[in-house]
Amino acid sequence: METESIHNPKTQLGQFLLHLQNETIPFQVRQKEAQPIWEDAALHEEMQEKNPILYALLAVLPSVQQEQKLRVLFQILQTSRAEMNSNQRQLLEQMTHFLLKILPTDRILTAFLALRKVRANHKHSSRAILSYLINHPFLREMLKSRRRVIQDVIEHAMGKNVARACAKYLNKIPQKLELTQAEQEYVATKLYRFAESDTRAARLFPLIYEKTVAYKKKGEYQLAHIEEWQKVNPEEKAANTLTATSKGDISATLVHLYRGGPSNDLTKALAEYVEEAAQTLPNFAGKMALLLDVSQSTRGYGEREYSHISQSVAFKLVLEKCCKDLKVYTVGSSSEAIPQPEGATDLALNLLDALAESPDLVAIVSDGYENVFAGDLQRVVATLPKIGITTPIVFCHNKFSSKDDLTQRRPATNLPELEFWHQNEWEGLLLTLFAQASEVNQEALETHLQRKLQHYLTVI
Amino acid sequence: MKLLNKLNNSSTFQRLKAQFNKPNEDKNISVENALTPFAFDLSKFRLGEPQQSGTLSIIPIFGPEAEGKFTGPLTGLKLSKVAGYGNVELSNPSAEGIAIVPLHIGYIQDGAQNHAMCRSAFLAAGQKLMFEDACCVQKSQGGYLKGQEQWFFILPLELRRKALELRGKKGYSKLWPDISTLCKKYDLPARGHLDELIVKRRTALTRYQSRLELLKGQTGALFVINNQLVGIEIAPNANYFAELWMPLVCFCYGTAAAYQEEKLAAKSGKSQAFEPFKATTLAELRAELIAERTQKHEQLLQAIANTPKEKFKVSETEKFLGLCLKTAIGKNFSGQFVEDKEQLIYASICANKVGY
Repeated sequence: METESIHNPKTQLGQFLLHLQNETIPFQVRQKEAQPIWEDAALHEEMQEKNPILYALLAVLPSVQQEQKLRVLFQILQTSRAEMNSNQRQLLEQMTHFLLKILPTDRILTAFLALRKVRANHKHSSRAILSYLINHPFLREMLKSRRRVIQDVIEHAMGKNVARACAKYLNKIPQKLELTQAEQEYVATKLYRFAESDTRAARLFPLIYEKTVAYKKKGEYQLAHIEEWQKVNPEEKAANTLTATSKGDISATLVHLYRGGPSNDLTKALAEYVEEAAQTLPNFAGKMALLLDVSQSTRGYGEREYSHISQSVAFKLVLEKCCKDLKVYTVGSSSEAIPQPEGATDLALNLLDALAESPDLVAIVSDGYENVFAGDLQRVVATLPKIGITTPIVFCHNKFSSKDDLTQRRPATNLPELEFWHQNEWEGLLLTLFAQASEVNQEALETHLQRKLQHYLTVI
Repeated sequence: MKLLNKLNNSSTFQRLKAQFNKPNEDKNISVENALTPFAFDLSKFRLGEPQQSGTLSIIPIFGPEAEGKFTGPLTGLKLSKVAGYGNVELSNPSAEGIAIVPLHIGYIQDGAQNHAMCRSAFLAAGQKLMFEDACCVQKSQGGYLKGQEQWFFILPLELRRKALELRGKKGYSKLWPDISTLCKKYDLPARGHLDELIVKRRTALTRYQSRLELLKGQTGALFVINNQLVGIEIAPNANYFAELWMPLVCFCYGTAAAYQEEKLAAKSGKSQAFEPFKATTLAELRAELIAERTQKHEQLLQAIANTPKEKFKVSETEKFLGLCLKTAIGKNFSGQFVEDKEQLIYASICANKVGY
């Protein structure tokens, strides 16, 4: 399924983003191999060639797997920027800075080793390697356990003779010997220009040629990125304390409305919450169809009553703000603006209704229980390529918590599937969703990701 | 909606309605002879659009709200005490309204021995009734059910015939051998412990209430497993049926349907193949989907119409003012139903097993 759809230009970017979010195979460098080992290299190269800026920006998303972020880092460092304008170069510098902040040091060293393997010695790659290593807060500890690797990548970035010369000159300092003017200038040009502190660089750099480096603590450098990563991707709260109103302000307000609370205050608050959320979310410039499952099962029962339908309707209300050309098809028997959870689940016929209007993108938001008839959606989807319909269709699972078991709730395994349970996840969800129709939405996508990158750069 | 109109106008459905309406008119068609040979007045009932998930299909039934106030089994019926194993007292705490005890209702409570009733009954508002013929359904569990923190179920389909036959007979352990046999059939530890069937598999079974959806105003349903009619359930009103829906679809029919699904999955492997439609345009695809659904509806109704003809032994069991509770025992089907004069108020008639 993936191979087939990745060559569909309409969905290529979207499929690639799903790939980035789901594939976890490590990026590897082996001593005996001439090239780094990553089976999806061709895919990354192809996507980078199409739009190098958007390609790089995709790695901003917290939902992109760490090993895929690493691939993007390697790819943007190994590729020439000769043909790029200054804005593009600046953005790639920012992306490099961002990724070097949030990825684990050991994995970054693998990417640097890979750059050495492929003999990538652009100015930007050398700069990235040297700035990162020379200024690393745990350089001494790293030298204790990864000295040989660090020596190799620094020599690759600076040139072996240059690195050794710098170390030789700097070794004079502990011996209380003065560096000559020429030596000082040499070290300043080759090394200090990458250093945040000349003194520190002068003290630590020669250690890359010391066979043993003393350092008492262990493993701190491996956690150096954690603090920054958590600023970008805050940890999820424990799921065992979740209630029907734990899924964001919009759905919590809707739960109370469904339960029959005082509607004036709630309705006013609802409109405000929707407006507030929509302002931070990406927009879709094309024509979109939303199949909104409001069948009886979305009512839920017990403590979770109205939780599911509230979150689906909340998503719809926000999407109406983010996509000006949106048509909603309610699956069930209620078609009000705040629909009641009633009726059976006919996804297939509703999908055909939506496709008849030629949208650029279709999203199905559902609890996944199809009963008119179970299996129809999957068969309809399987028929679409045969009749020339290539409209991107995405199945979005609305879950009670991130841990929900989706057994019996996946009516079309031949569709790309996304999941959400909390309002906080909508940004990533919408970006992935809109990327499925990137032909009509590439600019909006790029703008939003740039904004997101700029925001992250202010907090890390 | 168009599809539903088409279904309602289909020849099979018209024929089925005619049978419901005039059971003795066409003796060649066996639906009402098989299930409603008692001249039920079903002229006011109509069928809704079928739903299917896995091996279980349902055809919703919509009927008139029965005259007189009938309380629901959840809100209007309480287990008030267990006076020794096999003796269960139910009460109707409502200020007004009659409770019809759903046939084969059972109660589950942590740390107490779960019980199920062998029969239906009437309870007037405020009345208590001791069922001395109840069955314990947990062989190795001590303790008595209390009136609180319980949830109720309807006995699994394939235990109901035996339970009905055991009505009026004392002996708390009387259903254990059959529970054990059914557990063995379902590849579960062979013991007279209903927990194996419904409590341990509760997560999977309770999905049936979402997999098949109760419709607004629905007062009953025909249940079909593997294209074979296995039950007809009719309630006095929509509220009553809504309260009964989950125990019925999950624990009574869901247990049998889940077993059939497991068998099917084992036979066909994990990923069941799905064929694309033959259509070459979107319009053709739509037409093909609708045509196929109509065909499925027809097949479903035909499967019901093909239910083997059989004679029922019908006996009057209990009376309450104008209401009459009757027991029907046939070769493949059995159950109880309530009539008010000749108007059907409640019915729970099901097959002895899947594949009769």
